[in-house]
Amino acid sequence: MTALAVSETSIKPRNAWGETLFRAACFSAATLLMAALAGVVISLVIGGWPAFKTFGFGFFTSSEWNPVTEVYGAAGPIVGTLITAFLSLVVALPLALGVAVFLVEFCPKPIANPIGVAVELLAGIPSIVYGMWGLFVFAPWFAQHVQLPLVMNAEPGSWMDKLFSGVPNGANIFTASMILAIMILPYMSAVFRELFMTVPAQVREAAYGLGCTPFEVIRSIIVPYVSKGVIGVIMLGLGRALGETMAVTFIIGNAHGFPHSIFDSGSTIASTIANEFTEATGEMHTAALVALGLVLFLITFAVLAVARLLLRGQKH
Amino acid sequence: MNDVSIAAPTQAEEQYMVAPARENLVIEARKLDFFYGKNQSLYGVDLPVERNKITALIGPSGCGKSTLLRALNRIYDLYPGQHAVGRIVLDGNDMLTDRKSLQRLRDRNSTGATVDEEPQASRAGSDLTQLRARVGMVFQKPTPFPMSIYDNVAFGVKLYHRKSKSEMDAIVERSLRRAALWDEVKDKLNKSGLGLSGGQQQRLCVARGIAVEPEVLLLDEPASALDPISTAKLEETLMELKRDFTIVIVTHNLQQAARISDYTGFMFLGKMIEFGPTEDLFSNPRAQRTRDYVTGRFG
Amino acid sequence: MDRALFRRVTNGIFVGACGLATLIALTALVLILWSLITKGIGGLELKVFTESQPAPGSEGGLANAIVGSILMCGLGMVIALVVGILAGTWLAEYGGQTTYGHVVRFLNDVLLSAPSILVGLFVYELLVAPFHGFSAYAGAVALAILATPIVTRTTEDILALQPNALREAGMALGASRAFVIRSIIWKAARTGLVTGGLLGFARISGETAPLLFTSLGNQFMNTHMSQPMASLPTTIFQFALSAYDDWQRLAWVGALLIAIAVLSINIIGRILARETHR
Repeated sequence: MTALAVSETSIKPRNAWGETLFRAACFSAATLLMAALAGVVISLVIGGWPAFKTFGFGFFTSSEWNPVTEVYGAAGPIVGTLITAFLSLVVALPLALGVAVFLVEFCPKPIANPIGVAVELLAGIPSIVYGMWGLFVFAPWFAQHVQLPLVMNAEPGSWMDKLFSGVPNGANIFTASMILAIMILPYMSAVFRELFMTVPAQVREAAYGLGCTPFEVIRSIIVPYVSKGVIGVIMLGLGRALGETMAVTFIIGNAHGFPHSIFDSGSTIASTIANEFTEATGEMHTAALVALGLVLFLITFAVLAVARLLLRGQKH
Repeated sequence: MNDVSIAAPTQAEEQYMVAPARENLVIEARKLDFFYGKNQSLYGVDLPVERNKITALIGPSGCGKSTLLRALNRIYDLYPGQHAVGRIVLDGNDMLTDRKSLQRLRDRNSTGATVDEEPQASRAGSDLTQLRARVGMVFQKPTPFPMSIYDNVAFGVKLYHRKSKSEMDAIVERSLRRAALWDEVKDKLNKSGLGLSGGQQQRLCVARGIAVEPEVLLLDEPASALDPISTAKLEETLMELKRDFTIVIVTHNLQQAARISDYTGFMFLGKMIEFGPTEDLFSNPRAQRTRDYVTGRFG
Repeated sequence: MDRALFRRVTNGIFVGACGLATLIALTALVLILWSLITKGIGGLELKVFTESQPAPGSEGGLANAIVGSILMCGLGMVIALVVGILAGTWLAEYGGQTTYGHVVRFLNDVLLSAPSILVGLFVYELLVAPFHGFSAYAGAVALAILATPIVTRTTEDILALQPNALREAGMALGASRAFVIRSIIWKAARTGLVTGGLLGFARISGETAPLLFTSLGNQFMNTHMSQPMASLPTTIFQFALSAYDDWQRLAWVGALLIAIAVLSINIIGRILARETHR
């Protein structure tokens, strides 16, 4: 029975090196990941520096964006980014909450699951598809059936005229926001649904056991239970809307000035970069676009950081 | 037959030790403290284990019997923050002699709470893979690896030896036979180990553990997830195995300890209350607590 | 109005509103899918897969874009899988609880939803500007940066689900930690890792923005990774914004192809994921 005594034959000289190497490889990969994010920041700072240096604070306040005279002010795209993201959130948030609540609380299970899965799958559809639909289907319909009648019926100089003025071709800030809203809607619904399902069944049952109506259970038990998470999801949705490129570029009209109404064409940071970067000839033009990128990064980083911190706190 | 020595009770709790003769010991824990972070869960525990015997550890849950078992092959090293202070002697070699463990022992000696001679730093104490090759372990829940039955058994052997296919076949067959599993699986050696029943999975883990020919086999409540028939089969296997191996088993089943073990240690609140030959401990317990426990008055 | 009635009515309104929201959302999404199918399916012929992109007004397909997408996504995924699985393993098995580990995890989460166009800018500065040329390599790296956080995240989650007993059992036989991870834990988590890879793949296969200034696009069939290369999303972008009817039609076909690809990858990933949980 000693055929296998440890002293016998060929004990492999092993382990110590393999362990160190593998561990080092894993550590390097994790560090590389951080380096990627650091690289994004550093390249944006370096690339955009000339623009900040030349235009100073005016870069943020001026809305003159002129590649011919090499004067760049980013107020237009920055405001455009904030308005479209905000508008799309205003539209998408109640809808997404409604969908999630409906699926988790009211919808019969056999229907809720397929719809839930479908919503999750739709969240994965590339944004360029949403953009194309906006350009070819939504914008023309909107121009024809909404924008034109509104503009025609508005009295010149009235508040309606001011709010709705613009070329009635459907390519404007409002339609871009709507497309963004449709795009972030499945994403937000899916995460909300997941979030609501983390509420323990006993908590829910205890509330129903007291005689609460479904509305009261949701308002007083479920939403407070995951309140941090709800804000986290809103921030995630906002982050997506802020940084989205393709869905917006197709349809916002790409005008650099300060938008005058919600039916005016405008631009966002992402759409401006997407449209002009490869065609930028002057060094200052490139620098201005990269500087725009840095502004976008700072905004989204702040939003995403808040979102992640809140969602992390939600886990158990 | 046994060199009978009764240790004086330490600290507040009375403590009775009837240890086997020193030259028959294969592994021994001496004055072992154990810490989960800052929480101490073992207090100066002694555990002498005689060669080719079955030693059982009993006691109410949370008494530290599993902790003691997990200290014997230093599996706790996986988790930062857990550490043992004291000595673990395997065949005369100290196993707690890496730099950190020695430092802790020195610190403890200097406080004077429990003083023990300090072993020399040695390679034995820092080469954990060698320690674990000599002290195998089977866990509470069956832990088949996600691979075939054959590969499960061969897994440990491959770590230490280069074997030809025919040699490996022989080792796998012998290990499975010794674990009383061969007849049930010989036709499906290439099927996944996850497809076996719970009792078979546990015997597969035993086969995997003994395939590397350890000197000591540690079993942590190996039957707690099994039905009575599988349990009986496992016990039978263990009785067979003690001819070749030394076995330490943690169990919460007193009948099981009485049935299969030669020595029994009763632990309570992180201390070894009484240790001695199984018959004595069950028929004539010396400590009041042991008497209460084995007669079912608490625990 | 008495209290009970008031509560019932409020609840009724709320339930109705939620149902309406679901109806609106589903309608919008169905409308999009409907346009996609009706406008795309007509042009779905064999020559889409066999011929490269046409000059305006002549016949052609999307073969160059499809090949380019496959090449760049493929290389990107290889990079992402290697880096992502190793990084996820580090977080789950080694340093996840250290301060450094928390920082890595947090930044990974940020990178996970960072605007993809910024990744494109970064890779432009890193790999395009210094070498004075757009290339498929640059495109693949940009895609890899987008897929890696997803792979890392799923790897960590899946490995964390593996029972500790499995690790202990491997270590108890005397295997090193690295060996236990590679030969037991990764094996046990196999399907989960594949799912993570598929999710990452689905995400990058539709990405347009990061490719605009890295791989640029190419109207000819090209398989040299060091040169500009076409991809489905950038070609769709170019065609959709063009003034030519036949290009716009091809753009719809391309959009349909991408949507089908992404949907099927996601569905396969889901089926696999469900099998792991069983």
